[in-house]
Amino acid sequence: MATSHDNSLTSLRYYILIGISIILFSILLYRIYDLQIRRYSDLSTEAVRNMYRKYNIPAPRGIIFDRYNRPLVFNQSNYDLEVYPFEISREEHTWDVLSRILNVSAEELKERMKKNMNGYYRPAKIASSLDYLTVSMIQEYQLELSGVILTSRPTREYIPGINAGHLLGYIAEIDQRTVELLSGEGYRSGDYIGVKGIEKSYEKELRGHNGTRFVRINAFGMDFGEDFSKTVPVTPGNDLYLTINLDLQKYVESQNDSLPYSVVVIDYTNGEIHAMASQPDFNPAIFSGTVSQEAWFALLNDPAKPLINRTVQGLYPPGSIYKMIAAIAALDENVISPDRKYHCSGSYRLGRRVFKCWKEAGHGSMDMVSAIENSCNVYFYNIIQEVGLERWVRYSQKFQVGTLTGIDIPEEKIGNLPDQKYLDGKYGKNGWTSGLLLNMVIGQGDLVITPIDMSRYICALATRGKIITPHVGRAVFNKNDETLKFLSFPSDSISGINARTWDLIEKGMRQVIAGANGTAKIAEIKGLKMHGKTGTAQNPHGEAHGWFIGYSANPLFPYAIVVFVENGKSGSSSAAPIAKRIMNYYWKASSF
Amino acid sequence: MLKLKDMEEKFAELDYVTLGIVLSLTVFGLISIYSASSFASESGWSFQFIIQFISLFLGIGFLTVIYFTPKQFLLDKAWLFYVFGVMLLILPFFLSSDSAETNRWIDLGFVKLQPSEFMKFFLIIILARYFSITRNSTDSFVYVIKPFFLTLIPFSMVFIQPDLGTSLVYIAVFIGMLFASGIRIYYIFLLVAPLITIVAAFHLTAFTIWGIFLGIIVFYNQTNLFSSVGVFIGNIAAGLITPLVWNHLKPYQQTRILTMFNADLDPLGAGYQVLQSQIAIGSGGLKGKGFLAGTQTHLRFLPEQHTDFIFSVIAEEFGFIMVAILFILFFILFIRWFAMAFKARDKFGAMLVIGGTVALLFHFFINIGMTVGLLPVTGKPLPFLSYGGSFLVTCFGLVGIILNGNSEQIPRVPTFR
Repeated sequence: MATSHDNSLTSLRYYILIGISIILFSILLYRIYDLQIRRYSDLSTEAVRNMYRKYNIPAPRGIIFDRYNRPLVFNQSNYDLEVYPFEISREEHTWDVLSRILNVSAEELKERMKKNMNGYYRPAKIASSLDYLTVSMIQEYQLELSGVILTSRPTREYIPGINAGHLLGYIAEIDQRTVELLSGEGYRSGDYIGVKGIEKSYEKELRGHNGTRFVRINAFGMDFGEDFSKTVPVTPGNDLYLTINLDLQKYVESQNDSLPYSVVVIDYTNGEIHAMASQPDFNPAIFSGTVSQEAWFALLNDPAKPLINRTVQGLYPPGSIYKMIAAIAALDENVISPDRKYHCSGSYRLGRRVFKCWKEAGHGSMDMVSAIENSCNVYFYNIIQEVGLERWVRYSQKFQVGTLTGIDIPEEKIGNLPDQKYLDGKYGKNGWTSGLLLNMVIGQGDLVITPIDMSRYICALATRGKIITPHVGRAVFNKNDETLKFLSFPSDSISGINARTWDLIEKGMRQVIAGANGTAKIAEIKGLKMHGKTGTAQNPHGEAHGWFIGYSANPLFPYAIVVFVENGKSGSSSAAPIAKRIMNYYWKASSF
Repeated sequence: MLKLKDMEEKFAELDYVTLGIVLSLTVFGLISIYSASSFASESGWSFQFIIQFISLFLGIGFLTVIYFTPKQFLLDKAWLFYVFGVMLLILPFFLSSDSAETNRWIDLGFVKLQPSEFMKFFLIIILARYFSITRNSTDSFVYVIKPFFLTLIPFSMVFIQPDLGTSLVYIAVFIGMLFASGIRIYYIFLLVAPLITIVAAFHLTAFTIWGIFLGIIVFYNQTNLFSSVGVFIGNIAAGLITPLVWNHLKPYQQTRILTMFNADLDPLGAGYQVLQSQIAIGSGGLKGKGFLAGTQTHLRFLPEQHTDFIFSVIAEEFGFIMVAILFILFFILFIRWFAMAFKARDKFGAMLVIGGTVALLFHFFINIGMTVGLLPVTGKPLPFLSYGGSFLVTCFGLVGIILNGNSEQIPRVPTFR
């Protein structure tokens, strides 16, 4: 019997067994502690994410109206197809049905899902911009297609008859880099963002905020209905009212088919732009939906460069339209008397160089007013010698030439006003002579500006020194609290230029239209008392560019116009007739 | 064969702590099964709850029968039981027709029996008999050979069913009892070494370190140079062959094995269960979401929730505090049982206690390890808590074996020729 009492479980082994148990229990308990206490918040979030399927409700983008409340850009629904990988992965049948409806192989569809996949519980887009027939077929088969959803996405539609591509711009699907760059502003991949024009500059107003619907589901994707307490309501984007007049816009876009040109029609009292064009341009409608590669390359490689907004991005020498700066500087600083006459023989000699007037035969004896009327270069060669660079630059700066106008259209380019420092830097401290100054006084050489810069300049001339901000935005309508907010833009005024100076400049500019030798006699419009100045800017790459700036002195029609014609040969022959037509059209259209 | 006096004595020594805890766990399991098997659309007592409730009484009956069976009878008839058990294991192979699943069951029409469950008892008894009567020295490797083959037979039969989980229970029982019987630890090392070799074979540095370690252990423990070299070379060769075998596996087979270790690899496949289980447990937090309020459970994100993943349901609905309480209860049970084995007055009884305890401890560790994502999904339920009639009855039976082993009756040990 003794052997049966022989229990060989020694105390050492007993303790080892207890020890092993303790270790096993500790490992498990620590792991559970890790899951339930340390990773609690993460895993709770996961559990909630499991429970709900989130639907994005895209915010309708704000509508863009013209100044008479006519919609220029509005929304239309466009359908995309998305799938939930978690629910669809194991469903061969679903793929079959989709493959037949979309007429795309199931493999290709699976590829697209993998490519756009962003986790198993998030929707992945497999087709976009579906046509009506496809949409209705999918709706018909919806019951068989669990995990497949149609999402409607508002797309931009444009009023026919105008392009205004540069002005309105367009929207595009946001890329991943921009999402990261604008983190904190709530963009998600798949959202659309304004990338050009008004759509870009007023992005914050127009976009609105996407909403989210939460639908309870179980593990099989079965729908238990929406949890309204969690719904994040959609905030529609604000509507934007522009200063643009649709009819005028239509008209300014159709002025010259052969040469690129730029037009700005602006209210000089407040800077509201009634129409602006940069031709050739593009129809923004081609960017809604997916742009085909061919269409994109066609635009990109067009030699007329339709993607460049000449009005705010084109830098050109202003030519003779810039002569008023030297005239104002000379008069205001009493450098010369307005009656002082210079003789124009058709050319001007400075040292060994000869500077020509545009009229080879010469203008004869010229005073200030007649020099502006005739656009006599020789007169200005003479006075700039007296005025000097410093004054010329200072008066240019009073008109803020060579600075950004701050127009509410993105990607404005800054002009170049060459001052002492610039010239020293470019040509060396003593490397340049007053020959450069002679070029600059007639708006040539290192001086380059944009047409929009010149619109501010002509407004200042028309108002005797008011510096406005050219703009196209007028008011923003908030649909949520139904408030209309008028936009305001900074303005400034030039002080210290005496009235006598303004009188003389005004007289000169009037003579351009009304004088016997005026360079823009063609631009006279009965009842408007047009003032203006032509310009012909030499262009080393080809024909000279034509300019015309002008304004109506009729207080009922307080508009200024800038016309620039690329390679137009001369301002008188190319730009002035366009200005005349446009002003005439608008005057007739708004006559009472 | 049962005398009334014996029964009275035996009744008097019943361990009420064990019974109390086991019954509490089972009742708590019933509550959890009620939650796990009731959904928004259904109401009332679920089918699973009723089955489990009935099984509780069957289990108590089974426990009683095993407890009051004299130890002498178990000792005498150990071989008979064992042979019977092996035959039951063979039977399904002849009865079954098509699917692999049917190899596990014997369908008696009104109830399905799982022979591999019964085999746990028979294996414990036959091993207990061997370890308590053998004259072989624990210092000799010969000591291991007989129980090794006794285990290998049912192990291979269950392994090819295929039921990896249950076959591993046999191994655990074997190694646990072997250890407790006083075997040289080195022999256990020799048995476990090939498994470590196979795992280490996938990593060159790990394999090298393991090779050196193996060499040192073998050199210091083995007296016979010839067998030392044999063991060493055998292991290294196995390690070298493993990657070759691995590369010959089909990609889907490789994925299946890999996802056993890393659930994230395949969130929709086998790994999906483990991921959802971890979400359920973690989202329970300290206090849980409340009875019947587990979202993972009630929206059915948890797979097999009333059987293999019942622990996740408990953790989600009752939280870390309740998990800790359950752990304490289980811990008391295992420590108490090991103490019983230590104090047992006869070796046969001690071995029965060890066998039953190791079997239950192994289930506990494998199941919770699986639900928390530490161990591969082997599909082993959690003792007393998981749904499953046969399994609950088996667990109560194992408690019966443990308590019986602990009883005062001392069997006569057969004499040898």
